[in-house]
Amino acid sequence: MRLQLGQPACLALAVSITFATRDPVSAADEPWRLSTDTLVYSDSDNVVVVSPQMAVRRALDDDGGNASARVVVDVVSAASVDVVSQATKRFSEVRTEADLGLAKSFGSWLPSVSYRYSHEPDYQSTGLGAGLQHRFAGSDATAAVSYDLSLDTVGYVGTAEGTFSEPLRSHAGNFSLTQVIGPKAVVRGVYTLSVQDGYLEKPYRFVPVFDQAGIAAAASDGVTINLSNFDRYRLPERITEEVPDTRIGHAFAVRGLRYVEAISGSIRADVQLFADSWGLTAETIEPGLTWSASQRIQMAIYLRSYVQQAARFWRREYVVDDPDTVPRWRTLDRDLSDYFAATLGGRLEWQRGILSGYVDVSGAVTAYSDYLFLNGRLALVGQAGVRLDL
Amino acid sequence: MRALQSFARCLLAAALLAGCATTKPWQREKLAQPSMKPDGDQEREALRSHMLGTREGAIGGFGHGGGGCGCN
Repeated sequence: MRLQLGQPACLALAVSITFATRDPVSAADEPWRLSTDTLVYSDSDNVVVVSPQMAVRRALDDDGGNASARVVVDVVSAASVDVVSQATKRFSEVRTEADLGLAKSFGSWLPSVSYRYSHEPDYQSTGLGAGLQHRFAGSDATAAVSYDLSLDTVGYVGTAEGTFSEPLRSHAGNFSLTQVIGPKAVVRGVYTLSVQDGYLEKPYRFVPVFDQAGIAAAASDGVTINLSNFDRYRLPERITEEVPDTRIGHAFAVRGLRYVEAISGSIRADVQLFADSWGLTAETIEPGLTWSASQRIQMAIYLRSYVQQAARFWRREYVVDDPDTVPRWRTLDRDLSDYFAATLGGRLEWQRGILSGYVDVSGAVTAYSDYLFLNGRLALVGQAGVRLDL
Repeated sequence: MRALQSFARCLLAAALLAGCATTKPWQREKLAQPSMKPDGDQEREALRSHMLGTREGAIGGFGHGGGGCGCN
């Protein structure tokens, strides 16, 4: 499939490759890493995504300096409830993303810059990032700050940009601290401030609105309003989704790693808390265990728990007293609802000389407690990759 | 919000720990193991993070930074 990179991406790619082929200053034996990965996602809500990825990384020094380029393509085929509830058949689309990164160490300082461009039929995004890392305390501690800006244009399939084109700006500021706790343990804490401003709705999403008569009719019929019958009880008007133009989020995350001599591996634990100005909160816990099965093979298992509390304007059914009025904020985005997701996965990593790779398989169960069209879904994710270190 | 404030205090405490103990170079063998890298395999994690960003409403932390995709 053809990659559609815009002019800015091509120019940045040329500049990055030029820089990367200067006389090498790294003392690393294998400064080049070529990578290829593929992720396949499939769920019971009739969504299938295949994402092949290729990347190249060139170490510039022994202190984290590197130049990198990555291209990933998402091939999406979906007939989810989000789609069929809008009387639309299965759709397919392709999203392409290119990322460039550059970091160079100057003593204990490591500044970095990045560029990202992505394109899909109804969405374009350009991202810029800058970061600075500093090692101190005898290299036992590393502090890092970074800022990422994403400039997005939301479009509508089959509609000219002059007819429908909405901007979205996303800012993300990160501060992290990584601390070595003795010879066998390390902990990292991260704080992210995210600010999104602009068009945060989905232009294809229409929110069904009900009145008291419709709710009463459903109760009288002895049914719970869901995907199969909501058309029968809703008000005839098709109301577009409307959410606040600004969303400010705070995320705190901590990752701990502890080496375990007995298994020649490690225990990892991630904990993350999130809260935003829409009233949405979420808690993530992910423990994992990695151990050596042999000199060349490592195995890992992990369990991820994600619990989310809905945005304050989320409703399973939007009920109005006056059919001529609509709720100020209304959404059908289940990612803003109450739900719980549990993921169990395993990974096998192998290495043989300059070649290494992995296979990762996981299954995820999601339970929606308050979503009109779906009670839950089961997802299977497979990911595999190969690395060549030259 | 109280939970977030507690987290912030923990992060600050971790920051204050910096410099309290110094690991000697010869003690870093285990820390250099691939399973002890906080970032993991960057290309693998980038793909996984992108997939999780389409399934979860939270932004930031060890996850997706928001924006950049119509799939969010």
